[in-house]
Amino acid sequence: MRTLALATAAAVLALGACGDAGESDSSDGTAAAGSAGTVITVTSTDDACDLSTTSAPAGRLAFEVTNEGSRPTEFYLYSDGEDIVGEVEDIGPGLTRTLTIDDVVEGDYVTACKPGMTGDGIRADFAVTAATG
Amino acid sequence: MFVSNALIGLREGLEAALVVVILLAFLVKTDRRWGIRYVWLGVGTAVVLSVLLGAVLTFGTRQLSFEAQEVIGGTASIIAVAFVTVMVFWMRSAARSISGELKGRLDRALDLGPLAVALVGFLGVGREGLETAIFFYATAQAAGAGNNVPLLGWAVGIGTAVLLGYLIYKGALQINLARFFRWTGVALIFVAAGILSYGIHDLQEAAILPGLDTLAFDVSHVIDPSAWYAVVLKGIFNFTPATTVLQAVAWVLYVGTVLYFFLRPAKAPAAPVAESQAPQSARQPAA
Repeated sequence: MRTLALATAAAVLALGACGDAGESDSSDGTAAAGSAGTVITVTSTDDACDLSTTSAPAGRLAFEVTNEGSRPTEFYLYSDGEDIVGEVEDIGPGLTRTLTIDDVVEGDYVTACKPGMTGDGIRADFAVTAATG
Repeated sequence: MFVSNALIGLREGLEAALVVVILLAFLVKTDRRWGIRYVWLGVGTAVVLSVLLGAVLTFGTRQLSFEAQEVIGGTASIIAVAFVTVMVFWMRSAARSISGELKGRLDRALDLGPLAVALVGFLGVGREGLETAIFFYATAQAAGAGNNVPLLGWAVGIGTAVLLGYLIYKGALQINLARFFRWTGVALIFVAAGILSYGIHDLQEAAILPGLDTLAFDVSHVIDPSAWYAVVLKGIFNFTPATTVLQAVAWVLYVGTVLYFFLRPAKAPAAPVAESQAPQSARQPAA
């Protein structure tokens, strides 16, 4: 039963690492900010990567990526210096998966969808503006 | 849509099944059947925990950040490597004691207890469990929205992995004991090196370890990462077409060191018994 105790401890730890998010849906595409973060919807196809908005206020960002292509895809957020800020892999065709990143600071970023999970991907600029409130 | 989701299920299933299958075959072959239920206890705990945690993260208001997810996967993988390494040497000492080279004393010293056996099962499945559960819920949500092809594909992929695991288990039981220890030991070392490399990559993605963009090699233009053979390579050995320098160095160091100690002949005075020693010592300088 010590195993169970350990497992429970691991679960508590993992939950402790979570935050509150995902409640501020922005249906009209203008990113609504708040402590709960900003939700950006992304549609990835075999040859396109469409974001609901290309800018968001600093803080927690949640990219909801839907794969409408024929191959598995990945979604990345890069900082200006090509560092990976966040990524979500294994988005199978027909699936929607979410990339949640805490505390994204103000600055210039690049988004990328990678149909087929290889190469530089379909890239676009993404701006993170000063936090509101 | 069906095939690519099935391949993702196959890869995740293989990653989880291999260590467990080898551990089970070892316990059966060496008359340590007491350990089997502890393996399943560990595996069961990992599955239940992953399913619950995955549900909380998918349907609740809490979400796991990218960094936290990578840290959990990376840390669990590296801990799993530590346990698998102990298991490899446990198998080695068991092989030695069976072939009469060593008496029971050392074997007992190296014998893993129920907790350690359960932990190997837990980590073997749990390190990828959360990722797999979250993927499962994504396919379930697609099915709820009227598209059940991804869910069917995923289920067939996982089912195939379980079937392959079962066949590997059956095959392992067929081969004779000396060969079994040699080859499953060597195979486990390569599997563990892959898990180590995977864990390092996760921690690099979480920016805990440096060098994510310093690649040792990138053959993704030759090996399509979504092709079935790339999926199988990744599922078994965690081979990734684009590998960082830190991953490659850790992999080489791990395989070199562990393989050397694994294949090194025992220093036991009662050496002449072992008819299998000659090829081992011949291979040793190359290790």
